[in-house]
Amino acid sequence: MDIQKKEIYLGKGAIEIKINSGRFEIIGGEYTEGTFKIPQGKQLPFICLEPGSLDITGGEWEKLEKSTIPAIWYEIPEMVKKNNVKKILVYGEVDTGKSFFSTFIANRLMDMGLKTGVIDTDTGQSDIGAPGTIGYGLFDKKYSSLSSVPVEKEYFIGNLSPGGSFAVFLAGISKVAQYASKTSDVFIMDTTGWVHGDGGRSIKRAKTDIVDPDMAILLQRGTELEHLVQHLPESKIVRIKVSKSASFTSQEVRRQLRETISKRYFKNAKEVEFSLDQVNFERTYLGSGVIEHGDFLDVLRFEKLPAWEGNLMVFAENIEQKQKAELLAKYPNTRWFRPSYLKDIYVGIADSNGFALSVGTIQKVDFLNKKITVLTPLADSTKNKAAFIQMGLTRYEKDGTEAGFVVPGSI
Amino acid sequence: MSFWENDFVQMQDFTDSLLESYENQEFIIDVLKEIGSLRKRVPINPGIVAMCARNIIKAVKPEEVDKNAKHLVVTIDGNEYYGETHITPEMLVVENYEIPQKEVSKIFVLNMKTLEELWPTLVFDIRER
Repeated sequence: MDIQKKEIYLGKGAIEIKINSGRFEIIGGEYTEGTFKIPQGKQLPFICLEPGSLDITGGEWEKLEKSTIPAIWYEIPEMVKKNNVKKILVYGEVDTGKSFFSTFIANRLMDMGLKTGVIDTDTGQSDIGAPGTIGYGLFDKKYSSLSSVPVEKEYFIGNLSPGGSFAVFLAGISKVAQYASKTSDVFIMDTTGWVHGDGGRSIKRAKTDIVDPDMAILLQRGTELEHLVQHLPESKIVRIKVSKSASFTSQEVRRQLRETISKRYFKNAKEVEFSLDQVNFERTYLGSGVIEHGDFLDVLRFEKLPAWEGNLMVFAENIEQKQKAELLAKYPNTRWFRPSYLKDIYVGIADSNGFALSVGTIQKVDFLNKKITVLTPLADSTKNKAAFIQMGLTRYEKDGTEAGFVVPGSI
Repeated sequence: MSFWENDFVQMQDFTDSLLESYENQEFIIDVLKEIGSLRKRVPINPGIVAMCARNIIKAVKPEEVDKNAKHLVVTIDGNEYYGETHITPEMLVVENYEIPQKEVSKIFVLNMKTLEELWPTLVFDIRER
């Protein structure tokens, strides 16, 4: 397809666009070549700077009368440089184009010579890093999508929503933001769309206090985000009317987008065995108590937990109901499960600093021989850096399909 | 901050309103059982459980009564009858009770598919411990 100078098109996924000739502005970066894959539920504008031709496969390709990118988007990078801004926090409800905006700004800042990082905190729709993680990436070049940015650091949350994981989520925000401060000239934190209600308000306020942004950017339709920044000086706040082309993403498409990412992660996964002498469990009662070595029939592991927490028992898979009932009657304050309950639990494989080296799913825990097998894309070269297996609250099938939950506190 | 950091309170609010709004114990127990079932299915999202819980009790018209399902029939004077219900030209028959249609104020049925309807992407098999 031939494209004339100044023509603007919107590609709506799933679509693939290959530049044959010409020069195009795409999400804040200029390109004369390349192939751009836009997934289902996402869209990307192409602005023609010099006439050329494109190959377009699939999806929708719509000609626009004018650019959907407001002028202020081009001004913000200048403001960042002029005011020596180091930390940018982007707020917006769901489907307000936060990730698109963050990519655009990061591309422009990178073009201006600033070492630019993006922290993706949207654990349910992770672009940088694995699902259920807070991911940090550096723009070493221009990117048309955050999902293409290589992961610099990753912090495992193990939940697709911060709700129910407040503490670990905020701990992750703090750790990744500190790391980003040390390794970038400026970073942009792309936040979740959870901005209302008790949970949304408290977690956003806490996040703001932790990051202490130099610039707070509100992508809003009206004034719906003002309550989040009432305490910030006016000089730090930038308000942007949300682009009308920001699209609504249905629950089903969100799951498809999530599973596209998880399936990509697990595509190259293999079973890796760790000794439980090398790695410790984290974010679980398992492995946190004192192991009792008595002769307990059909009990693979018996831990005395501290203080009033009682006991933890891992029963043999084929334990009889009567035997289980007798044990639980004898030790009433006991958390218990069978090894098969651990199968498919989503875990982070973390280094000694608590950052994720990779993610995976538990395939087997051999309590007698103190071994755990995890399906993970972890590189062989980094296996020896693994220090912790961090338990998540979700599960995945081997192919990356979502497979349910873990009852919090049950293991 | 004066915010709840946990959505469990929404479930508690719902059960409080359930106890205030209805008297039939068998009906209340069936609603609580369904909330328990939802909690098992979505243990990490009490807010979603609460959202589903608010849609368990569904008002229906007399002509929508399904003879295979239990209904709560509330009369104009506030009496509640709960059980399998069928309709005749002039009566609603709840188990052994015959209630003239003109004395019926409201009819409710329990919707056990709220998760499938509201959050189909969170429908998974439950893993047993």
